[in-house]
Amino acid sequence: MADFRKFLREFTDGRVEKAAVLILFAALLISVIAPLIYHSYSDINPLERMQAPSVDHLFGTDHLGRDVFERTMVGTRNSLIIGFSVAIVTTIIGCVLGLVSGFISFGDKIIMRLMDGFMAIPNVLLAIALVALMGSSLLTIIIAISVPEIPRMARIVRSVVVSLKEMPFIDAAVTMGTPQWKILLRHLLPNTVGALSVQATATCASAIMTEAILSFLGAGTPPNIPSWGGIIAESRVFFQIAPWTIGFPGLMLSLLVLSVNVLGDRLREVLDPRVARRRA
Amino acid sequence: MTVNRKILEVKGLNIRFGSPTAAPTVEDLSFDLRAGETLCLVGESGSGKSISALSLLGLLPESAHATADRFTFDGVDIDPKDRQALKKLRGQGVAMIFQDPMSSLNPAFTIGYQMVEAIRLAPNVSKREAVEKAIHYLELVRIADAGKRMNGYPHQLSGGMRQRVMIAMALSRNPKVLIADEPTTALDVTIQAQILALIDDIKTKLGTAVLFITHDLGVVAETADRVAVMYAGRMVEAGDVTEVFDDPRHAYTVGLMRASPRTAVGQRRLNDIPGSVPELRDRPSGCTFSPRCAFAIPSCQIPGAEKTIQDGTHLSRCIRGADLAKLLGETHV
Repeated sequence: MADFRKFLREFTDGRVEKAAVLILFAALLISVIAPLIYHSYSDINPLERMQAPSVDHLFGTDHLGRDVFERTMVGTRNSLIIGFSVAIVTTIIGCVLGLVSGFISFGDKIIMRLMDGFMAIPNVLLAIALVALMGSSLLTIIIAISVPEIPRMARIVRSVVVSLKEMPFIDAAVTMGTPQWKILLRHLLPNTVGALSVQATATCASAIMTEAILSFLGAGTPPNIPSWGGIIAESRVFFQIAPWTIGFPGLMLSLLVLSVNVLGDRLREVLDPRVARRRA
Repeated sequence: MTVNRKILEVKGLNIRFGSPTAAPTVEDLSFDLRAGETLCLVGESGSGKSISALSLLGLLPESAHATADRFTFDGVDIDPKDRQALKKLRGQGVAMIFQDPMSSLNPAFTIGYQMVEAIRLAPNVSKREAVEKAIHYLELVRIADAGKRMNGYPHQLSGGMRQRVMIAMALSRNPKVLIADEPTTALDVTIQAQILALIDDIKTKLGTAVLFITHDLGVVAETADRVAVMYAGRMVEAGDVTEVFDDPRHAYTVGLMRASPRTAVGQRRLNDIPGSVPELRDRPSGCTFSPRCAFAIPSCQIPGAEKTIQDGTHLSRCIRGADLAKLLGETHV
């Protein structure tokens, strides 16, 4: 518990980091609450089309008279689910693949060549293909974004494992009669956490961006679920008349991605013992 | 000196790399290790001392082939090719400490966690017993405030303390043999003396046999009961530490002693041994040291010149060994 508190204190040390934590918390809160309180985000109101931001409509309204604030808030959930799901999926799969190929030289060549193959697939193209094949849904998008990200994670874990494997403490563990699986789980895995968490946050941020890109291209989440990319895409034609329609969701997107990146950097600093010692 | 029980007996150990018929990297190595005794393996880099030690643990790379005429551990015959049998020795039978204490502990866990993990590799040890045992062994290696240190991470300890922790961890499963692979090389001189004293102390207290690998004759003089000097994969001289130091019977041992500040007493300058250890494929016939030897005569190169000559407990592979003392008197240093 004391360790966790110390971790939290180091983690939120600094104004930028505190702001980033607040933004992330706010986004989490919004993504839980917004869909519960806003039900009229899809209601078309032709009389109030493209109104500028006001007390009634904080972010203004779009070309169909829908409230941009409500739509943006509800869309937060979408972005977060995709960001976190992709980060979790790629971390788990990439980590397993990386550990196996780094530790067991037999699987190394096969897994790494496969990973090279996956890496060569552009995620946007894959998403479009998958959406065409399986229909547009959250799951499809998550799979499409995860597939090209997994090799990146696997490569990073593998490279850490390959260099760790030569460390004397691994030899020491072997001479003490430690079984292989224990070396893998107790000695190698915990020492990859630093690299893992950094890559995971980077993946999370890039997944949020990619989802926005896909929605913008029309290959994203289905139109009945508002998403930031989708809102921007629908309103881009009216950008010059109603800049708020894309300005606000764009701002939210930038803030969230920035926060995740800032926290990823800080996570690396806190988890890397060398950097942590310098700070201490 | 009392003769203790033989823990480890190795006769005619050959280690080859690549194929079972390749030229041996370690050739015809024989030694005994007795309880409560330190045997020092001395030699330059590449003389085969670490490889020999690793073979005892079954940790040679897959490409290595080890054979021996006789290999017994605590009275039980073991086939040096049988990696599974050797694996069982690890920890309980044979434990090892390494050269670099800075990276021999996992940076991600506390000392206590790693100690407890190591102890609990043995079956049927409860967590509480393991914690008590860990504290006991940390106290044995004279770590002050052992209970508190258990919660510390490796980076919070100095090099000497980390090496103590490594020793405690190695001892925690009561191994009969402790292999120390240059355990003091990475430490400064005062700490080095403390660690050597500690290993000596443990040896007498617990009756552990110590196989000490080093290239430092000064360390040998301080810690060894018996010495085995290795050169190019062969044991060229072996005997009690006093025999070897007072009456060296191999020109290579003489060369090593003249090159080390602590054993080259009475010399104004340190003498180096010209040349370097021959590559495996370039090893000369007869005595492998003869090309670098100041006392070599033509018959040193004849196959058979490398045969072991025994004089009581003192072994050497030098046909001029008996004359060395006289020869040394003639050469002016």
